[in-house]
Amino acid sequence: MSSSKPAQPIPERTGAVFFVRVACRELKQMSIDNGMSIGRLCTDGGVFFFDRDRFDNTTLGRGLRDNEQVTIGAHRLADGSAWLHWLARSNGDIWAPEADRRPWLVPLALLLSPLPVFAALALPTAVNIFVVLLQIALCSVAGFTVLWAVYRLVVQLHPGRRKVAGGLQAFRAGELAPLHEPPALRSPDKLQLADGLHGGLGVLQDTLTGVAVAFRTYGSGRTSYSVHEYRLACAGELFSLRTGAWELRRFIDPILIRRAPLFLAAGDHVSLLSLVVDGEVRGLLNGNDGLAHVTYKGTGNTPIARRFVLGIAAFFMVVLPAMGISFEIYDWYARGVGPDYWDWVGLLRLNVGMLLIVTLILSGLGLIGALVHYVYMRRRTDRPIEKILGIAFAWRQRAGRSPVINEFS
Amino acid sequence: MTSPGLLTYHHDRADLRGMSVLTFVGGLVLLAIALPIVHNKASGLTALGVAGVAVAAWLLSWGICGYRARAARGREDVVRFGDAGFESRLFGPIAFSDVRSYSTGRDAHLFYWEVSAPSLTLRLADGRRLRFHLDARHYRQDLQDYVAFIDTACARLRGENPAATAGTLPGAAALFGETVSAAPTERPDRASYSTRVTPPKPADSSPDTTPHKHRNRGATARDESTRGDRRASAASTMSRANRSADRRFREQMVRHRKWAVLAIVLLPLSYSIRACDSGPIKSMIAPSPFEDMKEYAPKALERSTSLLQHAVAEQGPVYMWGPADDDRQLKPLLAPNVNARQIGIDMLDTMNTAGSIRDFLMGGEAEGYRMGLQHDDTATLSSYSQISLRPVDGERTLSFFLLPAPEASNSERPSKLPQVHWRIRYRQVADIPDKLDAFNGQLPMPIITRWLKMTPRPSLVVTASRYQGMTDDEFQAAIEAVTRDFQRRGIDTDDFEIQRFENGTVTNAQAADRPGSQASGNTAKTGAADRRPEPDVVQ
Repeated sequence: MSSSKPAQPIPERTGAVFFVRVACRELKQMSIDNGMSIGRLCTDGGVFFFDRDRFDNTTLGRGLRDNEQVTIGAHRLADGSAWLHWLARSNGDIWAPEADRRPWLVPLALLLSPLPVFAALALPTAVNIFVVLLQIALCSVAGFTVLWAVYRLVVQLHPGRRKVAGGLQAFRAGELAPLHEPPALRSPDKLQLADGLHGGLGVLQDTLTGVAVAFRTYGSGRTSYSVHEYRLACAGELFSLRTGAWELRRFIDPILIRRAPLFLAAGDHVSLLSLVVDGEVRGLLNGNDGLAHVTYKGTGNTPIARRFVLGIAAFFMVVLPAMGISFEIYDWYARGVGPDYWDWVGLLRLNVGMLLIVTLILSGLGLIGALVHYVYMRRRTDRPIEKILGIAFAWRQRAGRSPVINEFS
Repeated sequence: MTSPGLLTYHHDRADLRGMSVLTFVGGLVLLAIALPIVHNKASGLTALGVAGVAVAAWLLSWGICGYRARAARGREDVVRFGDAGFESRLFGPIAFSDVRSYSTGRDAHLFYWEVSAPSLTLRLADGRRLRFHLDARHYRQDLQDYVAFIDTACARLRGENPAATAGTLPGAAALFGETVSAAPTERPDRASYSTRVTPPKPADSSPDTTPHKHRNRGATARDESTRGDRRASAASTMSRANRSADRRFREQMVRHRKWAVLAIVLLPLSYSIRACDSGPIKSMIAPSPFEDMKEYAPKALERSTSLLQHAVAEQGPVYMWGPADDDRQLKPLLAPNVNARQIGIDMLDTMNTAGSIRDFLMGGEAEGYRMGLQHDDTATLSSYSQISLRPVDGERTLSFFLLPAPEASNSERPSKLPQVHWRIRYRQVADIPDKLDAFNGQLPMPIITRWLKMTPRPSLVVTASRYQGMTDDEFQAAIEAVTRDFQRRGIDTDDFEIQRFENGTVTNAQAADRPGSQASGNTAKTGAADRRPEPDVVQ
């Protein structure tokens, strides 16, 4: 691994793959009942998370020594922490996910996916409800198969994943160079706030003596709602906070993960921030990994609501003009003559008209929604989430980290 | 924490930026409404001048608002609180006693809504209004200082003394134990306001920052004990509130579950009703809009028909010249010259017909009446005219109907024997032969003449009405002229006679169930038992 090239700093782009040699400080794990088991490795060059289920338990069980030098292949998360893909110890042990046992499955699925469609088309065309249902089922199978196979194919061809695999292969061959320069991170400072209430904000700073995360389901069947319920023991008292259990981290490939998990373990020194008005723990600063977690639940403006509303608006802004364009192009195709100047002008007018109509409709709906939101939320202006956000941003920046916080909801 | 410390944030005029957006959009809307009105009311040059001035005023006001907002955005403000007020680098010393009133609001980013911060407006005794907004571009860096500033200012404006505001949040520097003197370069340029900034005293300082060298071991132990008690008390309070929130969450989930269960029960139920039931439940839950119409349509038609009969009866007598010994129950009719839209659905056609009659009567009978002929158990109307058939002074109208013989109509090929009807208009009786010669309608006159000489002979009927200005004598004279013309053509009219009827209303046919009479074209049954309308027909 000797190289004449100088080591580059770790890229700041979220999702960037990098390889570093760091000294271990602390390795902890957080297991969720009936769920995944997340590991956290704190080093002198940053914090790394990983899904323990993807690694060999025997290798993991041997643990890491304090100050042990390890080489890590990881990709950067939004808040500056990283997701670990492989780790090489100085004694030669390598933590790496087991290789895909079924590499032939994706091409086979892609190859076989037209068969259900052909079968559906081969069915008699007589109007029979059972035949129609069978056709729908066959086409659905084909559609889902194609989507899954394309997803797996995209993941296989993902540049980050290939770079991670290439790095591991190069490391095994002794050709991995140059490694990236790990950042020099300071330990976060403790807030100089007394435990207690500060103008509607509750602050408690202490070490967690116990952490349990349970997968809890309220209701049953179609009316059920599942959450990950964190039970924290801090300063001799119990606290709880919840996150939705629908997150995709369990299902998507690790290379696509961009947000750090809400990781808490016994022994972590945390600052719990709550609002007096409702008693919910809305902010959590973890001094061990330097991550700040905040929930916007119950406040007027949440990032999830923004993503949902703007996503729907963007969907209609794209889909309706796309429909107009497809109809127009189909007309050109049906008449058998290519478009001329006036056809293009007509298409332009159609799209401008569609966009204008969609904009007007969405603006009207947005105005109504804003008025309803204002009337509803003006009675709930007692949740000053910006007080918690301000502390979290200042705390992160004080430690020389990016002012990025993780939202849990 | 007795002082928030030295607070630094970047100033913005979000109100002015909002005003500029409103000026642009509102001005655009006003111009779009006003300019066409001006263009219609004033001459071209004046309208052009007004439009130019209006557009210039709009752009100028928008530009001024935008420029002021842009100029104010991003200026760094440094705030230091004192006992009696605060000093701002941008606004100078502000004494709380000078503030007449204040109001708070909330700013949110246009797209990133969660980038939200409070705003503060102060109305001072000298009439000035000071507005404090946070520049969203520096949101993450300035939020703590800015929130501490607004929090402390509001607390002090509410009348709380500095000691009482000790619980408010400190600025970012004081949050980590830094003193004001640690940042001497950030002092405001015009820091002339006499302030006494108290260095923050960390309430929970870590051992390495605690100035413990003047303390003895016993005092340190007491401090630790006090701090431990305070932490235990705070933890207990917060944990209690948290458990209460947890309980509320569970109760909320149970409440939500009830609604969800209700929805999940009702949704499939509604689908099953929709899918399976075509009977009373469905009609009760989701009644078809046509259900009422089934009952309403015949009643509506009956009402309209009754009104029409009264209106027709007021139009006076009608005349008929035709076979004297005919058993086809001939009777001239007056019918409105309307053409109800027929779509093939009885119920809707009935409603359309009733509506057309009602519109005709409410419209002052502007379309006029046309002649018809009731025969057998049907009625045949003269053709619909898109031009009004209201009577014209000095002009008379004769309507001719040529009906195939019943036995011919009952043949296997009735379509070859159409019902023919036409009308002629004249001013002088002497013009009638020429009008008959000139007629070239459904069938030319020579063919009609030949058909009238065939066996079985069709029924020829000539009708007129007082509505069209015809009197008894004039009809008599007209028929004489027609008779002479027919005789000239070789048509036998010896058994024809003139009949006069009191009015042109429909009478119930005694032979309503006479077999063999088929309705087609401008023909419909007139029996009271059959109210189904046909195109171009009013019963």
